[in-house]
Amino acid sequence: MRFIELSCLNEGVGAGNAANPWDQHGKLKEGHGAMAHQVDNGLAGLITDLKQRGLFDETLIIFSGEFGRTPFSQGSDGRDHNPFGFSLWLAGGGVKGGTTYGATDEIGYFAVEKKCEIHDLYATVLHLLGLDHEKLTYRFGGRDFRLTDVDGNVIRQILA
Amino acid sequence: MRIPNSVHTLQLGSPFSAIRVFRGLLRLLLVAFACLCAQAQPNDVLIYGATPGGIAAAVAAAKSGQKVTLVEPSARIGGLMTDLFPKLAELADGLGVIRSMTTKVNEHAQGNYGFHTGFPFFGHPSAHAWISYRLGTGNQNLPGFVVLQSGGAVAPHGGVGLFSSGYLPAQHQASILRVDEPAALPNLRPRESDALQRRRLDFVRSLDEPFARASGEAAVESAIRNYETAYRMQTAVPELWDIRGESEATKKLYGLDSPHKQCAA
Repeated sequence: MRFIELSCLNEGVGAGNAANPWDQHGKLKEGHGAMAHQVDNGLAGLITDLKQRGLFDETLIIFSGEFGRTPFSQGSDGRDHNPFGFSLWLAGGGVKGGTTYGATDEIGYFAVEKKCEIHDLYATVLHLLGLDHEKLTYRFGGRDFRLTDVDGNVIRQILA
Repeated sequence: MRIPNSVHTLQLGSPFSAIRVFRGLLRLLLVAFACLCAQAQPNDVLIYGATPGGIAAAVAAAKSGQKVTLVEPSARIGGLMTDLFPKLAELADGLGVIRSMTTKVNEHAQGNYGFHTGFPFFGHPSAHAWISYRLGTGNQNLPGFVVLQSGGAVAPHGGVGLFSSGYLPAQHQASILRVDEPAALPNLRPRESDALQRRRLDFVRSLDEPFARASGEAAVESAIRNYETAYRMQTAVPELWDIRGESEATKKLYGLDSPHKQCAA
């Protein structure tokens, strides 16, 4: 194995269903509370276990959704999707722990400082795996393709 | 957050776990230390706890011309984390948080394709397939890219195409393994003897290999590789799935003793 993807389980709150259990357009506090409770122990357990086994520095953990949620409500107690500014974290080998990078505006709606895109994330992930994202190519349909397309900058400030 | 120079900050380099155990004692020591600092260098304001409120109070006091000492018992000052992740928060010193992520799409399936493949639509290889393609698998008896599912979990919106190898060779697509069932994969137990199965696979290979060479079809080469990995997985996966040998401490760490079954990782 080289890469393991873990999916979350559905807690049956709000609009969250099996395919996107964090999708709380309603009952956000209750739904995110249940989802966070579900993964908190497992994430902490995984990090602790990897550290105890001396594997934390050889493992890269990525925790992310596909977008964030608005800083303002949708309906009475939900939040809508927010692709303009949200957070994710990396942990493990090569990651500078205890670091935050970039910022959103005053209300947490738009990323305004050191904006990142998915290609930046994967340029960084590949860098942490010892790969140059511009050189990882595959010829298909007459041209070279990349995971980072024609974009991507390694986010060096979060590297150890 | 940048803290103005006029705010004195105290940081400890002690391991977090030690702080957790000795937190009470540490608080006393820190307050005593802060008082000593206060004597050595007169302060107008002493604030205990670099919470958002504490930091804001320190900044406000400093801006109004006060000399401020801000004291925090945990390993690091700064950073914000929701209290929805209490256990993870204790390990925040190991996290690198990006707080300025953006994506060009605002719908689940497109968003998931974006985060899996770098492109917001079906057809491109998952990042994990790229990694498997370049680095290979870490264990020759298992596929390079694995998705673990349990309970009612299904592929996120966008479907199993999120785990696709796209235009990369097919052996780099994900294998979905069920973590909460005795058999992680259906039909894992062979119905025939190992010797017979080996002969059968060798025979299929003797037909496939010349065809792969003659046709130049990468898909045939992938099929050969997938047969071989599947053969080895018959032994490797049940071994991997057997957690009886893990210590009670490890099982507890992953929440296997939790009354809330969803929490078991």
